[in-house]
Amino acid sequence: MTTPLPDDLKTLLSSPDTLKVLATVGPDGEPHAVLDPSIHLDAGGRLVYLELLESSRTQRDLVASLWFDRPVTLMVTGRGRTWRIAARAWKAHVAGPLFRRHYERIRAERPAADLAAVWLIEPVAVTEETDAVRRARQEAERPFFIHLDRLART
Amino acid sequence: MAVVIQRRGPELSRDEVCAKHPDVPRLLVLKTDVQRRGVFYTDAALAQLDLERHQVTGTHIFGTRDGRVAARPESLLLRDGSSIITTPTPLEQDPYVVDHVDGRLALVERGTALEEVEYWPRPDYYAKTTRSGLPMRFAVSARPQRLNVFPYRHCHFWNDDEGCLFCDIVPQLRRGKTDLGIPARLDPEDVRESVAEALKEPGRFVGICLTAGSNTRGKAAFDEEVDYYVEILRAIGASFATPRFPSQLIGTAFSEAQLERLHRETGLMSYTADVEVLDERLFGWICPGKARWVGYREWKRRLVAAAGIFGRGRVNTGIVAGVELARPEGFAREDDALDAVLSEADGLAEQGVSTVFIVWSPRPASALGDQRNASLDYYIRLAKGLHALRVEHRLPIDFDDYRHCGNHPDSDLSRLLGALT
Repeated sequence: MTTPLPDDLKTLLSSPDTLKVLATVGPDGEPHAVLDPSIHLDAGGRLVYLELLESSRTQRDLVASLWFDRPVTLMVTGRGRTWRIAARAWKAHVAGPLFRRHYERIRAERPAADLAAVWLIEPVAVTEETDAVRRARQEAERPFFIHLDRLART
Repeated sequence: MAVVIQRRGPELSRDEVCAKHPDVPRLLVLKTDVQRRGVFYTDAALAQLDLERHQVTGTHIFGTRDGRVAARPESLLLRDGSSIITTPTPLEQDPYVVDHVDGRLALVERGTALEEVEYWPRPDYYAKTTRSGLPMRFAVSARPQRLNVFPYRHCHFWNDDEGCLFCDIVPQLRRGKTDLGIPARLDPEDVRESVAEALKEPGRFVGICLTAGSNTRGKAAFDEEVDYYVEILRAIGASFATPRFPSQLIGTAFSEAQLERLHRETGLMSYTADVEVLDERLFGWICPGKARWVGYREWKRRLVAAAGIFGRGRVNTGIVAGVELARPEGFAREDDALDAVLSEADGLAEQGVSTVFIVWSPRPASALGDQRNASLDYYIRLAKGLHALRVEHRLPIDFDDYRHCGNHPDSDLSRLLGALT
């Protein structure tokens, strides 16, 4: 079931200036990551990733995610904030109206490009990973991890 | 004609097969089982069929398990982008049910929705006709990413009652001519026009596949079959700017001279000659025409020769998996059948020839139509075994993968592999 995302994150995902890194795991457990500013949300709250190459590592890893229910992660950074979306590949469109729309747009923008699949990726959990938020979270939940000099009187 | 088919004794359930093979995705196990058992479309599912958006059964080169020729969904698309090529099957044979559940089409078993599916999208050119007046969908049919050309729907092996025992191509030809008006032999110009039109649809197709019945005529046996393929492939090639185009010919096992001609005079990129059953004794029984005109050993030798012409990883052979267990001549035990098939496939793989399988779908108009196919566990073990041979022998199967065919559970597994070169 798709986990809804906070509005701030939705806004970030809609911006092409946002840094978006999709991290996957291969069938052999090897990690892999791609930077792709075109990742966005569809109307149903699923992440849309356009894979241009059938032979790519990401394509294989997303197949493995869908087949074996393996997690993928999308890191999203922009406007001073960072989010981590844990997700699973849900569906690969390889033909039909959605695929064709993206194919025609990509070909118009990049005439040498092809499109292998339009992936729909389902968010299953989201956490904010902004540095200040992570630090505050650690200090609240793991108070023994702090260096003492940071607590000393000055 | 409905046929009630009894299965062999106790078999592992789908869940048990999944538990036994955790390295095979559940979706692939389900797909294989759907091919094995067939599908039944409910009225609610058929009500979702939109002739403007969805593809209905087209050229009908092979028949269905329920024996009907009717406009029904051509087949199904799965979430992973692969297809299930399957046939409508009577309910009494225990098929999966395709139903409309909670606003979606789904594969259903005993009332439980297992997996969402889609009908194949209709290609744009299906609405058009050639200048001769032939509906283009009869000249060239489509899968989600592949164009199919069935230029010649007769098989000369049937002239002497030597058609393959699992096959119903000639009974279907008769029905196709009578019920649908599909010509037995296509005019290359109709094919040229249809392919040219199909290629106007952006991003739809990644390959073209030709297949037809065997034609024994000619100065050398099968020369006329090759002549016609050359003619058709040249007509198709007229639409391409490149000398070669992603394509597969599924033909008879041709001689070196015939293969070299196909490679030299057309843009063909891959070649398949289906041996159907990988056992010499059973080949003689199940494929009497192929056995008499070519022979089992010569069939395999020609496949190996083809790999020398088209290249490693661009030649394969198909088997109708499960038919090696057909009564009365087939293997009595699945373990013995599997050992025999994989041993033969290994011998071909080490010489550069892949083996892929389709699940045997016993059709009522075929000689073995009242028999049953193999267990699900058998098919999954076979898929793993054939895939492992390709990995071991570094044989790519890109020309016959989930995009270019979609009917081979074993080649679906190649999606997790890097380049095998």
